[in-house]
Amino acid sequence: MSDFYSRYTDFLKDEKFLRWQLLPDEALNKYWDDFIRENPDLNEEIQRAIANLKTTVLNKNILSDSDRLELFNRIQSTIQGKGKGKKTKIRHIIRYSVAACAAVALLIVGLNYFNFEKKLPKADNRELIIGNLLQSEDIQFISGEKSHEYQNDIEVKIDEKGKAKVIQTKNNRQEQIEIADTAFNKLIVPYGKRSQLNLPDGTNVWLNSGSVLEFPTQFTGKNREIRLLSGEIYLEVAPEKNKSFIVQTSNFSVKVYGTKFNVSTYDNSPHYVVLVEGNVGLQAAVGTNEIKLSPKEQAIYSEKGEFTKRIVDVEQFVCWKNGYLSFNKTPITEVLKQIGRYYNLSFNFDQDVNLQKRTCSGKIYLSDDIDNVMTTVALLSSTRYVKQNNQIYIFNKK
Amino acid sequence: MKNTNDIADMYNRYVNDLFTYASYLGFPKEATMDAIHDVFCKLAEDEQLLNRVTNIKSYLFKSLKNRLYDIYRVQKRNLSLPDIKNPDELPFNITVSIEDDFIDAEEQAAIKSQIENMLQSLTARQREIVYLRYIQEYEYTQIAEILNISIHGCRKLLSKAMKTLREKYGSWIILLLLL
Repeated sequence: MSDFYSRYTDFLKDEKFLRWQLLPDEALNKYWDDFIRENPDLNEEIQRAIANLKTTVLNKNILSDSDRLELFNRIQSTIQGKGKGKKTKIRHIIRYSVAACAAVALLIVGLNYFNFEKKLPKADNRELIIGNLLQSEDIQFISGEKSHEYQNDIEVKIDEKGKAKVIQTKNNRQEQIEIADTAFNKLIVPYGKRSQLNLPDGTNVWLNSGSVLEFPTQFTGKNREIRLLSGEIYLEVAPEKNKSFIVQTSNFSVKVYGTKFNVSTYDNSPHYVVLVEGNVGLQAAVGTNEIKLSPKEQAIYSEKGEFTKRIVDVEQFVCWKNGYLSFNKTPITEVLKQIGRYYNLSFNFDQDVNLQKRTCSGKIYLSDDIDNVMTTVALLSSTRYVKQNNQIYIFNKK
Repeated sequence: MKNTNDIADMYNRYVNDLFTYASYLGFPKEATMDAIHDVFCKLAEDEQLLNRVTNIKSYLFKSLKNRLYDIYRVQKRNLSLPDIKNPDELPFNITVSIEDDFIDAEEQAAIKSQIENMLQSLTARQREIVYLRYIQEYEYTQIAEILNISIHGCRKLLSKAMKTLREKYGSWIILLLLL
């Protein structure tokens, strides 16, 4: 047993350190208190070893994210089944749950890995990406002449009678609002926010950050139609035999036959549709043929008015609605783009920086706390970050 | 409404630890998920419980252990599992794993082996009390409840564990003198 300590790993291998942590007694406490006092330069490594041993080495989390969510769903269903007709909003609880849970797990990781330096990294421009936290905007629900503004994420429910109820996800505050009997209700969800919409036919729509959706108060026509003016939505369409559901976008329309799918139409990314379940038909504004999409297929729209189809891992495209993002060797620029939308961060990719080629693999919980998210991004892409005021600096790990 | 949000809150805070605890007690994933499900459903049914219980986490741990044992008793009849007469005789094994990119494979193996050896020299109950005290940071009263022993019993268990480790891994000086 050597007395040469330099890294935290030396402590993790040291039986005296381990005994002190696992089963401290007076002698061990005194020994290590003296040791720390006599070796102040090793204190940081010791603290790191202490944190590491307790949270990572011996308390590894072995429950997968999907299992955790699934188990919660199961519990929720059972409780609901026994409830005295209490209406419980499962989905928003799940989202809240996932985010809250992530906060704890990620914070622990953060403590172990990063030195929070007070000074900024030297600007070696080849290895630096800078992000800016932008002013947060409110969600707007526009119906007829009226516009309702909300600071927090909301869930809008429209019933068959054309009455709307708005629930704020954060504090569960509900309110009934008057909406016009119009075909052009508009829900504007800025970057940094998300919303959910329950339509009178039972269809559920999840709106991702940076989305604008137009929809009628009642589905009176031959079809059920909504218009995605920009952004990304995930839908679970309620089947209705004689009325197909159509999502109009600027370049194409998606005809639905009772199903689950994701439509993405952001300005700075290619537009596409991913089908989870059921079947849909895609019709380009400029083309004449209807392309059919099968489950697990993604159709990407190109400028020429054509669609390219491929099979994808559906989870990566729809997990945002469950409060997390999933990546597989995805370039960090794409990762930061998606995170940027969710939290209203603008990342600067103008300069050609080597760091932009870094890839990221893993899951990122969309926690309420940006630090948690950035810690995970850094971990998954082997980078480091520092947040100061409203700017985030991402740079190469030493 | 308030009740279900409390459940969600508690689930998020404790499910990982509960799952880890169950696996250290030797239970497979399926049985653990069932047990956790049952524990939370029971919690949801009893509205007064949250007011009565002082420490929710230790209450959940104890409930989980009892529920797991109940499941074990039923399955024991179907599969051939070793005979465990009560929850206090369940095995306990802490998994040691190092997923640290900063440590190379050789060092990871060395650390893992050192810690595993030390833990293996303890009894199951001693390992469990180390887990409850050191990792979960429970008070003696809570540990006593979970392990179904007295507070004095806790102290005895801990000091016995300390003694074992001290004797096996402690001072070299004593060994040299004996030579």
